[in-house]
Amino acid sequence: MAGNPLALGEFEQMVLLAVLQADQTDARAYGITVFDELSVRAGRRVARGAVYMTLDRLEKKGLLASFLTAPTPERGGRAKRCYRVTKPGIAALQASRRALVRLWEGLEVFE
Amino acid sequence: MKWLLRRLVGADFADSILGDLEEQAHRRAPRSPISRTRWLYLQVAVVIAHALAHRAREGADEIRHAGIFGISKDIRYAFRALRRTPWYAATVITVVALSMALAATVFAVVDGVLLRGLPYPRVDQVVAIEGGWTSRPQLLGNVPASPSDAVAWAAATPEVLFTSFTLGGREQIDDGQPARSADVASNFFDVIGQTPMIGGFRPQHFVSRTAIRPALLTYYCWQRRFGADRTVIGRVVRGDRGAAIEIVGVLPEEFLFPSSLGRFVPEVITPLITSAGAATDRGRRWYVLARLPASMTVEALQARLHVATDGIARQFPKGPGGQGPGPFDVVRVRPIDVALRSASRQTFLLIFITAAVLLLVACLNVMGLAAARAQDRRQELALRRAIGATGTDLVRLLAAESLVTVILGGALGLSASWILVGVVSSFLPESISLLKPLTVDWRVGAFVAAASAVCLMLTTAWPARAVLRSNSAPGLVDAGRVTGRQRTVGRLGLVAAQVALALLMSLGGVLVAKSLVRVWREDPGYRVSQTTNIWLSSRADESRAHIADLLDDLGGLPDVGAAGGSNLLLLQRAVRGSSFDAPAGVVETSNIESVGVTRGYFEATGIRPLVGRLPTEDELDGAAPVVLVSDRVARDYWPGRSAVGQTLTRRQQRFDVIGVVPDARYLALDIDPDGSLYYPLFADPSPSLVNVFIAHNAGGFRSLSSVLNLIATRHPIYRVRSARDVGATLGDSIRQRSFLTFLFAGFGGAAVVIAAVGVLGLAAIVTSRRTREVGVRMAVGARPAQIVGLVVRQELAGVLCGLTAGALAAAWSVRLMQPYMYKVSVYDPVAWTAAIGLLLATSTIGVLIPALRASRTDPVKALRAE
Repeated sequence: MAGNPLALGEFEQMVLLAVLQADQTDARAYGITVFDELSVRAGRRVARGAVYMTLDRLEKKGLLASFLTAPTPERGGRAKRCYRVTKPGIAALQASRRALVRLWEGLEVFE
Repeated sequence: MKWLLRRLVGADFADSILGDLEEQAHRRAPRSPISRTRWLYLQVAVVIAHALAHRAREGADEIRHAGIFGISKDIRYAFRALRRTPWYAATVITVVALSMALAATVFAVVDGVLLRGLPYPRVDQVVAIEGGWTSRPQLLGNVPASPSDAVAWAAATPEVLFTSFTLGGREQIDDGQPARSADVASNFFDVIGQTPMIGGFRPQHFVSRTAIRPALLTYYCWQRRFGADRTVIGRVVRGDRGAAIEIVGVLPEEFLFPSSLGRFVPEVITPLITSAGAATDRGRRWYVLARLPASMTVEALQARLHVATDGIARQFPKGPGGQGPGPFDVVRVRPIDVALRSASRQTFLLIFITAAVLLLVACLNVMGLAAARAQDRRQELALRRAIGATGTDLVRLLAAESLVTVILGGALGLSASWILVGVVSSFLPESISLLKPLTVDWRVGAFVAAASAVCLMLTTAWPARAVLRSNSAPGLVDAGRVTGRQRTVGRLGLVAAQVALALLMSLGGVLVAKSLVRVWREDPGYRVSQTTNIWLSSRADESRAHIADLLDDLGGLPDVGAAGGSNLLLLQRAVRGSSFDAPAGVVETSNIESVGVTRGYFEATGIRPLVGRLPTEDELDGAAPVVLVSDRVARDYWPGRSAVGQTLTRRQQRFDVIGVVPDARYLALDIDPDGSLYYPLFADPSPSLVNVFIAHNAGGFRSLSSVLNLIATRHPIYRVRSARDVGATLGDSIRQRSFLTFLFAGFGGAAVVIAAVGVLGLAAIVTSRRTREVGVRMAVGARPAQIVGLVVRQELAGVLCGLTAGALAAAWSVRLMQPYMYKVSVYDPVAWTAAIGLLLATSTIGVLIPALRASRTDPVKALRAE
């Protein structure tokens, strides 16, 4: 199915928002912090594998950008891959939000 | 696991994931190092599982979006590309179709003869018991047993269930067409384990002969002659020898009569009445089968029967009536599966291998053409690669083209095999037993599909390999240039391989064809032209008067020059033996036949004496004790002496040898005669007329109807079993040889055509690729003859390599053809020269055509086009 590549699934939206949240902290947004944000803020038990595959897919879509930090001993001498939401990522999130808000209009009874 | 993760998500991403997991593991409460390691491995496994699922989803999407649509697009493109190159497409499709048609036809026959299982339950317990003589090993298994043999064998092993049957009878069914019949003993169906589908014999049917004989019909007889009418049971129809038969049952469709002599596959089964005198009846007409108890092996039964056989052989030194060899002194027990298939196994395996080799030649051929075409499309393929096509995309493109040609060729071949199977059916000798009707069924279709798949793989592999190994940049740069040395070697290798295999096959074809010609050049020893042979059977006991009246009447017909009869079964490969004792001191090791003849026999057959004289009409009519011997008998019995004036003894009566005549081929045209003795038929106490030779004055068969009418109206005691031109009867006697020649020569011819087409196609493609080079050569002064010489020299190199390799391989493998040779050496120089010359000539023509075309190249146009 060849749809709009910027259209976001529910889990993709959550991962993008988790990256934005984690990126505001000192620890920056990488696998562990994104996973923690999803667990704490969304209250959802998610599999690490699903988080990593979604991060990878969002990066390939151009909605995320990543960079490597210096390796640390506690990581077994491996670098940390940190993520930042790109402009298209922000645009995709805004578009998703707008669509949801429009759909919710007039449905305050459920709030 | 880490390696797998790296393979799945890439090394960098895998490292960062592993780093995260390691860091997380550190953050966890340090309970124990083992639990941390376990946790780490568990998390890696979870990530790997997700990565695999992600990959699978991506792959499915790719197949859905790119795969199916891509393949259908490739196939559409392949059709368009093939339409632009009609000669290439036609050549490949023809080659595939021709080879598939022949291979499918052979598979249909081989499936019927070798591959289909016998329909008997617990078939390994059913055995055939055959007898023979140690002095005549070639007859082992070819001569039926006598009732006394069967009785003795059954008595020696009471725990084994024995049964017997006889073959060769004929019944006149309602439609007037004779149907082959067989008589079976009461426990026949218990031994083979098959039962009638409707009705069946009752025990009283086997007690005594009745005026109305009960009969079972085979499924095909029931279908064809009675339209599958179930009310046929109980119907009484006109039978043989004036008796009526009552249809008491129908056999199932899967019923298979266990006869290794396929020519006698019966349609009507009647009961075999075992008379009280069976224990002393030594006339050989019974075939014996047995079902072993689970505890007994084939070898154990054979050992016990050998003892019984040996006892009979000591008791009776000579055959029944003093004629022919005595009782069997050798017995052989074989599983029924082996016994039924042994005669054809080796031959059909060889035929199947030949068909497989033909398919291989076709694959090599198409492989070469496809590789050359891929080479021509190198620029296009390189361009595709440069703009992003992967190696898989290019291979798929090539495979789509091969798929189209192979499927079209396979479908054409399968269609053609319908026709070929019909042709083969008409050639198939009756001596070959088929375990199913010869038809193109789903098994043949599956074979063609499998062969097409192999063909597709082979024809895609070579060009795909070349494409995958090439790089886009050189491809773009050197496209259109002369092929490199490596590619030339590969191409010539392909040509050499197919020429070598084609030589093997054409040599086999030429050798068997030459053998057949050699057989046809044999002098049968009697007149063939304008001579008819009538095979008779008598409906009741015949007398001298019956025989003499019939021959008088036949001789009096206006078109008949001479008519004479004998008691010989002509050209049926049936050995009866001699009723004369060999002279003292001579050990008889060959199959000398004694033939009782009437007056008119020598005139009708044209047999003339070499020495001495023929018997007079009075001597033949009066049963005078005179005998003629054939040349070989004279030499064997009285070497270095004159046979005329000698005497021979027959049933205590002395016969004077009055002349020597040439040897005659009475068994088959391709069986060298062991010699014959001719005596007056009326010297037999109960003379039996089996066949009549009629020499026509002129017009041949124009008088046959009058002959048949005369026998039917004036001599109803005789029934005509066949009436044929002697030449046709001779042809029938070598029908199996003719069939094999048809197959081998057909394969040889097809292989030569395929190889020639392959050489032509490759040479044409390569030559057209060299247009620029040819243009340059001509521009600098090369003459057309030089261009032709250049192309022919280079392209024929592969052919000559192939001929050399093929000749070396044939020098060893040609020995497999030895059983099919007749007085022709497998190293016959004429046959070898013909096969090599044929391939060389066709290949040279294949090379010359594009070479001549290249020599007419206009250099200006060629260079401008480049």
